[in-house]
Amino acid sequence: MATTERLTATESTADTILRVRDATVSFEMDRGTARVLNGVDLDVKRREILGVVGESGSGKSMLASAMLDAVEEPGRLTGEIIYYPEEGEPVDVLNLSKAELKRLRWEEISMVFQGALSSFNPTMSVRGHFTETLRAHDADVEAGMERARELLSDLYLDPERVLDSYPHELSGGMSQRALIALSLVLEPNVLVMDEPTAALDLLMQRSILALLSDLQEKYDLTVVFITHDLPLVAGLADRLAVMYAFELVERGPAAELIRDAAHPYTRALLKAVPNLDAPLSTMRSIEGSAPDPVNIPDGCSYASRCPLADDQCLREDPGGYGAGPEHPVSCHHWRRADEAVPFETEVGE
Amino acid sequence: MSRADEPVVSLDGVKVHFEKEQGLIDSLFGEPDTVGAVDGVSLEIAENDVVALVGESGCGKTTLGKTAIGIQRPTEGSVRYRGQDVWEAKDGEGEIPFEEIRRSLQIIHQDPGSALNPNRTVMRTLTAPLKRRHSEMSPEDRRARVLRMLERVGMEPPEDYAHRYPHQLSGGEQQRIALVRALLMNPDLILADEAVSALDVSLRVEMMDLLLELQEQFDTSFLFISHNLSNARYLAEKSGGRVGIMYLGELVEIGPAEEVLQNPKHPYTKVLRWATADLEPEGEVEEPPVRTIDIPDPVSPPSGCRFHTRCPKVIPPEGTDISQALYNEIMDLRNAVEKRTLRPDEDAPRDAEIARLRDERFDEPLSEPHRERVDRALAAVVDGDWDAAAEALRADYESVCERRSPTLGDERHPTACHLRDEGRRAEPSAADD
Repeated sequence: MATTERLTATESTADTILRVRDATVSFEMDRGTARVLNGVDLDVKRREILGVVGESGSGKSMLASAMLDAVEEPGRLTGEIIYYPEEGEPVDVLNLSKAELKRLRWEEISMVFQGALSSFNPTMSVRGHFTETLRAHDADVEAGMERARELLSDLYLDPERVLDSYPHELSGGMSQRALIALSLVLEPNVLVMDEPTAALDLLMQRSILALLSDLQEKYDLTVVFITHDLPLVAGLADRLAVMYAFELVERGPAAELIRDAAHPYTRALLKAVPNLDAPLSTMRSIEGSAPDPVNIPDGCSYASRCPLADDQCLREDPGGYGAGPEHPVSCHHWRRADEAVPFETEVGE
Repeated sequence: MSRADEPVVSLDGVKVHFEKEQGLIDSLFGEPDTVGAVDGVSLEIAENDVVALVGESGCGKTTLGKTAIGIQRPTEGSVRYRGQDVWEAKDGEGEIPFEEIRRSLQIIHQDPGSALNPNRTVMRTLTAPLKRRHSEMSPEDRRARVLRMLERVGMEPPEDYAHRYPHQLSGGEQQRIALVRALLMNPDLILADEAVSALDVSLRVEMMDLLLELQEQFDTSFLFISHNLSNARYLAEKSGGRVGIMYLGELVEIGPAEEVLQNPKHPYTKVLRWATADLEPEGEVEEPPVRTIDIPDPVSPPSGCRFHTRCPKVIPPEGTDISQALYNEIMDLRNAVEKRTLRPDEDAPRDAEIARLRDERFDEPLSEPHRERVDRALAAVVDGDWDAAAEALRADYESVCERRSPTLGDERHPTACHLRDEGRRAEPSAADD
């Protein structure tokens, strides 16, 4: 088969819980229209842990906000977001009333951001946050608090002590875990986390990931974990999706993507991460910089930094090629990516 | 004469204690949440040396760094710059003027954006300190020197960058400006406090390479502070420097980067290694290899070895026949009893409540005499006599790790851990004489 032939990956959609189509977020600026999310298609599968990886400014936080129709003014979100509950009719997220959206956001899909302290009200005890959330959603407070205590102990916290505390009395790691417990108190099915651990020490980050993995199993959760830190999610996620310049450039099963990434950017990113065991000489930064959202170039956005770029890349936007049955990649020359950006040592060894 | 042979900076038995309320608010760089005291650290930084200090937040690494460059006064111990006590110089009693010491010891911050004046162009930001220190230089010379430096850190064309304001620069470019500002002072030592953590992953290696390149060109020493062992490894190993590990105010291990990373001796260093995820496509998410994931309050650190409350290798008393796993659970129970975090139900039948608490705390099978001892302690807890429970458990299970503080030796790769002092004799397989 010729390398230029388009292969559309056949991702199965039967188990989809959240379907994102052509999600685009734009801002009007003096300089023109900034497109900070550019036509993203993504299916989140029921009960999977999906890692979305991107550097700062890649649009990954916009994608998180878009999933909950939570893009802030003056950003404009277009496209389609469909939530498929296990039972009942699909929900068109971008066409909900305020009340419906509020219900969806806590009871079906909930969200955890970086920096718990700014998510908590400093003048309210942690217990107050739980009871207020339960009351605002007309939930049974007593049963809800019982669940809260269980969630807190699942997260290695002393429930009574934490509930009695004010947010500033807890360490960063404790308040972030308390926030995760709060986000789960109304039994949502999907948890969207945007850099939930980035402000914490590495030891706490990895510990929280181990706990998340337990929670996901215990409560049958679907988790979307958004981060700039590829190694952090690599061991946790079932699938990975990589963002570059406001678009998804590659997604696939985590192990396949780590071992045999098909996009030159993903491969370069894997090599750019300092780690403990690989020879120092194999670690390389990625030269150049990402494009301006006001001036997204024609063709491939990564072309200016890519060793494989040719005329076709500058002209023609690479759509979805199939590097594997569940592994779409946006690169005209993905078959040659491993030669162009070789992994000098076995990754993971 | 001998000044040049003296280490650039030597810290001797440095302690820094903060009043809790006061915190760091009074210090120069008011970062609100890291009140890390330093407790008895000695460290020498030679010319052209690279030392990377690694530890969790609150371990005192930033405080130690600030003490090393003379912007934080130690409560005890001394800080010397080329043999001259820094704080004596400050009080006007030294041979080297304090001004010169301050110029020789520079800092670049974690967040370069907030360290640069948003209303000043790059050129103004960089010529200002030159004007102050080198009033004899003509404005043309100052500008030329700034442009040369910009070129050197890869900001080309330099004239273009010189006229920008901080908000017109990327994070990596801002960090370069902060680095140039420090280098223009011709310092002997630069403290780089989490200088690459805020940068995007794809730019970190490049920034660290730049630091190392400049270190070589300008013969500057670096004290690099990070919570990230991979970054510390990159910088220290590439420059043949050292990695030091800090925990709750103390230096627990230090040595050549390669040795500390490849052959970590302190159990805490091993934990930090675990925390530094490598790419493992098949990787299972493992349980953290510490007994508790939260750091104790640095205001009242644990006795003895401060890591003993989390250490997976805490040493059982000599002659006690017990597995490490069971001993760890007993030590966790002791901690819960001492902190009174167990929640006995006063209305439940006594024996059932003892059994419930026991089941809640122990995954390991409880062999005799441990089971009897544990039940006796739990009975005291159910009866409300917490002190008796704590005392009884302490009498049976007190570890050398909580009684005595291990000290850091002066070999090439020392570690402060009783396991090193005592060999492996206290481990269960070798419990007999």
